[in-house]
Amino acid sequence: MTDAELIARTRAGDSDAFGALVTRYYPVCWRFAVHMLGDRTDAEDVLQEAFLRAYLAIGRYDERDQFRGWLFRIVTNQCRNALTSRGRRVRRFINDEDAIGQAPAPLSELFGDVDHAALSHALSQLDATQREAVLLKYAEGLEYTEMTALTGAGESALKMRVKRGIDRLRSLLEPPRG
Amino acid sequence: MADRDPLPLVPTEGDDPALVARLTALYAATPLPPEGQAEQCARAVLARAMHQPVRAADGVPRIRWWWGAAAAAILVIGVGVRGISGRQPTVTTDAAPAGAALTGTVTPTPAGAAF
Repeated sequence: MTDAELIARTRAGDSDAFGALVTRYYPVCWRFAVHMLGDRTDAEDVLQEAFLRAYLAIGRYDERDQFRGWLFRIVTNQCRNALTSRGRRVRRFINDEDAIGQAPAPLSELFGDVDHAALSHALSQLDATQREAVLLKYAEGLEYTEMTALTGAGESALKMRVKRGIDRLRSLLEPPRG
Repeated sequence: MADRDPLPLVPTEGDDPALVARLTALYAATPLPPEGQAEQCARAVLARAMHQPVRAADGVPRIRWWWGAAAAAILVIGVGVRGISGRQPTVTTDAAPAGAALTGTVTPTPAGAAF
């Protein structure tokens, strides 16, 4: 069944159709959210919130847009919100050794491959806007026009973020000199 | 005067094919969500949505059918308990009945009396 058919059935009140949309798009959204947030539990929470918002707003979805792009816009916004609230939490509890000790393992530990682990760690060191731009451009393979529609940022700003993100990644991955 | 390259106002993205290839490989190697997590998410979303106002295509909150059913049930019960007519209204009037004789005395107020 196509996205359009599932959306039409969801609008008509068929909750199974929305379940099918969630199952279809969960893995791609999950991959993006996991790399944006660097944490699987946060990604799970963010995706639940994002899909809830999508379900409640599906009446306002414009069929001329790609459903994937529309959904990604919601996921991206939810990731930003999660990072903002996490920033507040970190500022509040930064000196709490217990909280730091109980923090979930960084995403880099999920990768057995040393190269993947190093790159994942370097990615987590980027500024959130740079990480978002780099992931959308090179991991999701979006064009700048699509990224503009998705993030609301101008094309030149996005190019700047990608360039700076790549430069920073390169410097983080360089072997230490000396 | 020799032409100089204009300053690049819009930077070109730092294409680094090797790094981009590594990023793509990392993304592809990302562990999938645990089995059944998507279905669990869908169930949680639908359960939470039951308690949220649903909006129609024009953004106006859509009235769920059971709100109407609940309102109708309350009305039916209310009418059943009290009856359609309810209590008879009582009418009071200050006017004396027609033909009633006025009784009593009228006492003039003395001039300069304090009230």
